[in-house]
Amino acid sequence: MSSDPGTGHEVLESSFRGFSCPFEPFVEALAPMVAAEYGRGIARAFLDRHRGRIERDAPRLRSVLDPWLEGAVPEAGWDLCFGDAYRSIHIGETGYDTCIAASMATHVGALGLPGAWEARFQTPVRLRWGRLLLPACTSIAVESDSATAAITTFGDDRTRTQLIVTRDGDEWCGDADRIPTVTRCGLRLSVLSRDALLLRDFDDLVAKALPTIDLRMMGIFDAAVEIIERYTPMYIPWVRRALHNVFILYPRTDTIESGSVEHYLGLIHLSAHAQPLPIAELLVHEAAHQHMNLLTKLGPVDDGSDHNTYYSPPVDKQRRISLIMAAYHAFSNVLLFYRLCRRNGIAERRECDRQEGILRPWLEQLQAPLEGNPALTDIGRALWLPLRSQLQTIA
Amino acid sequence: MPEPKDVSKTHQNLQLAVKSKILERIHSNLTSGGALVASTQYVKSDGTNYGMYTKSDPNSSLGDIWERVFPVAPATHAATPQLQVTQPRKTTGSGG
Repeated sequence: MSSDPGTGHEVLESSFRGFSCPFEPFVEALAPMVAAEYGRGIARAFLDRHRGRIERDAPRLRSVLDPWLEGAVPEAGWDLCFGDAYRSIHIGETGYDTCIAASMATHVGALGLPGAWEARFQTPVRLRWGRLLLPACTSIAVESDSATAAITTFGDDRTRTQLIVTRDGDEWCGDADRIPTVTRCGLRLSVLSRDALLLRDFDDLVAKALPTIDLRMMGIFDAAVEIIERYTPMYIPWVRRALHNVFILYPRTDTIESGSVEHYLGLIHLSAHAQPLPIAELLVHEAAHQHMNLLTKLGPVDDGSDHNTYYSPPVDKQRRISLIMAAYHAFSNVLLFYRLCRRNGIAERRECDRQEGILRPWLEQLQAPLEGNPALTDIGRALWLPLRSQLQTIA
Repeated sequence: MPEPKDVSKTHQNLQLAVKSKILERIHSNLTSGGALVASTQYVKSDGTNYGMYTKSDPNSSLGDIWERVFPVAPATHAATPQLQVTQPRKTTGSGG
């Protein structure tokens, strides 16, 4: 039976509204599919562009990556390496190309794609194998099948470390630092320390990342997910499907910071904090950005014909319509989260009221330029119109 | 258990549609030279006073930092990876 992409396009276009909020049906296969196809597309462009250097520094790497590019390991995609590859293509970075390609190889290797390869790097890097953080190395040799991997790393001082790691279900076990992971309610959110990040050209952000993860912060994450589960359970699939990696920023006086970088799918960052409710809010907020980032891999939210900028109260700046959309999408979901928390009996009722007082006027301002804007595409309208209805329904 | 044929076919059609849209977008992004700075960053007022750390305090010990977040019990670390020094180079844009 032959495939019919026309039918696929119809299914796809009818699924856009699921990215708006958790009150719309979501085609669960779509999120990993978008991440995987995006990862492959970026990887192809990256490997083509840097072919010469990568073949010189890691001659057997393509033998591992090519089967994946051809379609093996469909779930590959939620990894930082694809964002790094995108940045590298754009800024023409050459010093980290082999490292990024090796990150792709460890990513697909840990997902079960067999291979034997080696690579050398200009500066020490720490690669990941599943949820194991490998030692800092300037060269690495890997021989793996879907169940076992022999990994040899050489440090800057030629210190040799040999690891044999084995697969136990979805996890790899071995004598390496284990990346702490939030697992409540089926989440698989890896909490990354600073040296697990490459994020070239985001040096300021990386400098703000904490180099160690305190177990108590893991407890706060767990408690935050418990709040979502207990008071707004419809937001559990929302965060579960979109959030895969997080790094923690140094705390700052009186402020909490969070963010997503568009081309790093599944990766967020947020401030260290001792209270679970603001962390729960930020998980919902960043999951909204991640949903929008996934959807905009399929098409833009506007056609570029609106050249105006509009005031965005959350950042106190003039913004293009696409960023007004991003703010409306995230803060509408946050307001729905707080309204549902209050409705379902959370103890911090006053905080919910305070958030209502802040967010409602923001959203009124953000909504005005979206209303009837002819520049919005089908994707743009699918993102915001269901939220406008839900904000009226869940008042 | 194998998927029924119609479910599998729907999935396959969807995948083809996704792939074609994504490749179109990647091509457009990489050839237009735009979309380099595309991040959202949100700083919200906290209302609590849990920490006094600032970025200009590079010698502050990690224990101290976590003590400021969690001021009661002593810190225990889930991982103690080696510190990698990064040199700030440029600030990226923000949105949100």
